[in-house]
Amino acid sequence: MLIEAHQLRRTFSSFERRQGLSGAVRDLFRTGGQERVAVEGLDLRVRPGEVVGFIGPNGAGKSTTIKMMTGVLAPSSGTLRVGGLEPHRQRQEHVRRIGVVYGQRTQLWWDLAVIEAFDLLAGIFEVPAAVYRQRLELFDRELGIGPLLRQPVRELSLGQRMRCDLAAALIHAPPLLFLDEPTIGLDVEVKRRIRELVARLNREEGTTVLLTTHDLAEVEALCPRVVLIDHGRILLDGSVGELRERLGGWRRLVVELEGEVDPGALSAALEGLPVTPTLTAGQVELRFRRSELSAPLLIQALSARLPVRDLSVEEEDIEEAVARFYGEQRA
Amino acid sequence: MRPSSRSVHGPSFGRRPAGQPGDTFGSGYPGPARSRLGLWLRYAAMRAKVRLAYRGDFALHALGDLLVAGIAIVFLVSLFSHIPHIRGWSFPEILFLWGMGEVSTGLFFVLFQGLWALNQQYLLRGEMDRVLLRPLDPYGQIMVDHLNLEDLPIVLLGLAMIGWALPGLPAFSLAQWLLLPLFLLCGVLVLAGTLTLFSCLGFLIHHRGTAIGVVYQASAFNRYPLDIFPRPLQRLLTFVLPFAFIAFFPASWYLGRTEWLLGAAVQPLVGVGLFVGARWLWGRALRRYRSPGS
Repeated sequence: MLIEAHQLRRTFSSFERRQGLSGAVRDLFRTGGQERVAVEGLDLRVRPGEVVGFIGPNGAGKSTTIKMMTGVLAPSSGTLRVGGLEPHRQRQEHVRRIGVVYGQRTQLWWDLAVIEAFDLLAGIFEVPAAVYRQRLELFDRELGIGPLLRQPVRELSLGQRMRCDLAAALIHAPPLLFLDEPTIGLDVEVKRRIRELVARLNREEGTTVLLTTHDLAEVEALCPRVVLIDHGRILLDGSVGELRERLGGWRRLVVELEGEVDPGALSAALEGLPVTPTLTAGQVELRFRRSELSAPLLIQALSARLPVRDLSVEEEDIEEAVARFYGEQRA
Repeated sequence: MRPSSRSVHGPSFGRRPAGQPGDTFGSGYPGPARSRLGLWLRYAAMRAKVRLAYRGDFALHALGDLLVAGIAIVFLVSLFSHIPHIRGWSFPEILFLWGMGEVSTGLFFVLFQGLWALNQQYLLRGEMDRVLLRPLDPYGQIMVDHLNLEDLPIVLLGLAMIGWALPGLPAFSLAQWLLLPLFLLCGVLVLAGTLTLFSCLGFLIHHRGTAIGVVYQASAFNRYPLDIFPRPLQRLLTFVLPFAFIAFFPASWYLGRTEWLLGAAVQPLVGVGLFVGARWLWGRALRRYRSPGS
């Protein structure tokens, strides 16, 4: 196992600031605060060479988990081993073997030229000169960063900066890569290039990747394994296929009728079928599970009793499904 | 379309056959450093280069600092043109003491400016994450990132003040000459240790970083003879905020005042001990770092 987390937990004591001047003064003398649990008893095992997608809503505990795995944050309790090391205690040794990209902020020095930052990082991570040159050529081919190297980091656009940030995180060829929302706010082309490089490193160098994202297309493109997390707990751990399965395999049949919908005729048509109808102006929307009901059967039942003008069947997309899943879990 | 559009921006990187000698990217990367120290020097050189690149900014900052230091000298000169002694301290003596303090303070600002950026930039804005993701000492990275060569002129000014004072002072022994750099460096450590100690507060209480500002203001006392202050303040400057160790205790030995000999003798110990202790505590406090935006 490359990553082994057992009952991993992290809490923060949070202060809710009181209002006004007197509140600020009273805040000064407050000691402990309220405990807020960010990650609650997380169990996770990741094998070398896996690409794991961490998904979940904002505040689900994804970033906190990543920060513990990278050694930036200490766990409050539980055990965590990455490559046999305790990330937080053996941090310097640990970070030599990982690469980390935060989509939200750069890890490069703001005022250095890109190539200067790369040179410095290569020095810090003790990359041999020949290897370094090869890496730069690879990054130029895959990410097109050659023309950016002489520019100061602060002058780069978001897309340019993210490509450079990814390259910077990979200079020392780390066997484990953490990507925290790496493609947030990027255009389609830059997203594609980043995903292709990550997929290639996984395929050719066996790089293990842990990715957090809101973008489910990204998960589908990159991650054979998905971990769904909320309130710091794992809700689901499996393949994208299993995720779809567990999330329901819901379908939607939208039927357009001639004239007004007759509720009596509709309920008669749907008698005994596992389906929930929603009525809108001249339209009926029917949700049903693929496993419980076949679309032709439903269409047959409907057209026997109602004047159907047009119809369409849609798969519920994964994004909606996840949102609904969270809704159910929280309810 | 692609290859031609790329060649507009610069040399074509992909076409060069592998293994051919030459620096494809124009990178001056010489390979890994031979030692830890070599790496730190390379890091520092990179930062220094950037600071020097903003020449106008550099000159303005240096000029401003020199002006502030210069006003103090003008004040001293005009003060002593009216009275020959202050509590038995002559002008050259005060000048020497002041010069020592100026050298240590100047060096402190060159090397430890990062302490001022710690709260806002690293703890509140979360740049500590970046620092922690590199296999180098975090404290060192922060200090090197804020290497502040603009204050080197202050060090030179301090040395000039010492030089100016010398003709009016009794001659120093060889041992005194040899020990002078040690006292000056340990003076830097006293200041750096004390402020590092207070900077740990940032990990415990979230604030904007004024605590070390206030403590630093108190360090201005280091350039005055201790015995002109009331007793409680003298004790404060010796035992609580030990700024008398920065320049006063060692300087008093050079000026032949034996009543503070013990202070001068232990100054290097105080400096090194305080700094090492503060660094240790800082490392402990770092464990409480809670990266923002979890």
